[in-house]
Amino acid sequence: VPAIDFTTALARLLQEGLLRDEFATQPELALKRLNLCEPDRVALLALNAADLEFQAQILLRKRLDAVRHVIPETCQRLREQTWRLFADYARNFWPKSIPFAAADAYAFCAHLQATQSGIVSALEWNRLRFAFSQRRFDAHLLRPDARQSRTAVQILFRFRPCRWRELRLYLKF
Amino acid sequence: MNIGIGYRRELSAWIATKPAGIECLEITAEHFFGNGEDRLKHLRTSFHLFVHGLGLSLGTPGPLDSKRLDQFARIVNAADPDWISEHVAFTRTGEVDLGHLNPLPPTREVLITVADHARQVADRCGKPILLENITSHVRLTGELSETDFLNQLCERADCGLLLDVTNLFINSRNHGFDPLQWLHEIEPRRIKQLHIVGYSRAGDRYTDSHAAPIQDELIELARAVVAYAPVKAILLERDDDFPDAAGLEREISKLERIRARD
Repeated sequence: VPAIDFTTALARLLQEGLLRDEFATQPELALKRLNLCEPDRVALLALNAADLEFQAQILLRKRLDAVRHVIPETCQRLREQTWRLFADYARNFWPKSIPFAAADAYAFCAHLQATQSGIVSALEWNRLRFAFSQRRFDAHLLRPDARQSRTAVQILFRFRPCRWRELRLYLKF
Repeated sequence: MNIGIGYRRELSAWIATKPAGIECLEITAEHFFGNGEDRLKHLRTSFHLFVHGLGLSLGTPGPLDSKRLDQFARIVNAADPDWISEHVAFTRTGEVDLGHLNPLPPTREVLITVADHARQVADRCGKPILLENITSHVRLTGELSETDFLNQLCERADCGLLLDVTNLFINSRNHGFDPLQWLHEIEPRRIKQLHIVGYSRAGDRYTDSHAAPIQDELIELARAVVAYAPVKAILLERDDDFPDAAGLEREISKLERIRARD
């Protein structure tokens, strides 16, 4: 395996919370795990672990800002817990799919579904699952809640591989 | 010196009223990837435009992402800006995509990578390019000081500097240096454009949330920059917690105070 350069090592440290934890307590071991090229060792060892953690937190905040735009209702339901729950999920997970923010929101919602039953907005969860599927059509019944007073049918349909639309029909009973 | 604002979807209705005091707009290229080219052609009939990049990752060794560069060039072509700009930063490496701006060490090797990439972007787009300083909470060391790095980078890339006054202020507070001394180590002829927006605080650290009104210390620093360098444009770079029209006008009036230098 070829040795990596400073920039790649910094990126790995910013991306992986567990690696940062190791760097803070056993920097030599973390460098060995990274397989950093010899000329860049001194510069990386000079990094302050607390500064590095703060820089990583800033990146997580930026990720959350982007995710909020994709799942505003879920974040509203989480209220002041949003940051803590997102940081728990995101510290050791980095989405690889495009679009980045939507993939992040989808993975965050999946994490919440597994750990905080019922907190994810059904509307947003249905939408994300459809967006990341190959399905041509999907429909869901949305029951009244604090945000919508009437029962609705959420209809999702795909007209190109990466293009889809959403309709909501509100039912009168 | 022109005064302007970073174009954001949330501001589009206000900008459509052609507010007094707004002479130029900065378009974030990535916000228009895939659509909106007609809107750019319309905007350029009323304002000077600049196209700003977030994701070309000039500091990543190896070739630029050709698909992203093509998308960027398409936006430049539609906007026909006075100049284009990108950050002295990396957002990804060969194996990791962080999706946001991250600092680079001030080494000769990095300088060559960023400068060659900047030239390539400028050549591809047929426009002059400016490079922007970012905030960093980690202090990276190299063979050069940050200011030597930026001067030599501008020289090698034959480009100007987009000085983010807020980023300079934040770094100076977090790393304990004098921003005016830093400023006077930069070749003044290189500084062509300024960004400014209020800083935020997280405990004892200063951060660039792009969500706060411009503070007085920033106005003072920006005035010092304008007195020192032949700045051609200053833009408000607000990304969140957008104020109403009256609040935006108050922010723009601060830029007018900077320009007035009285």
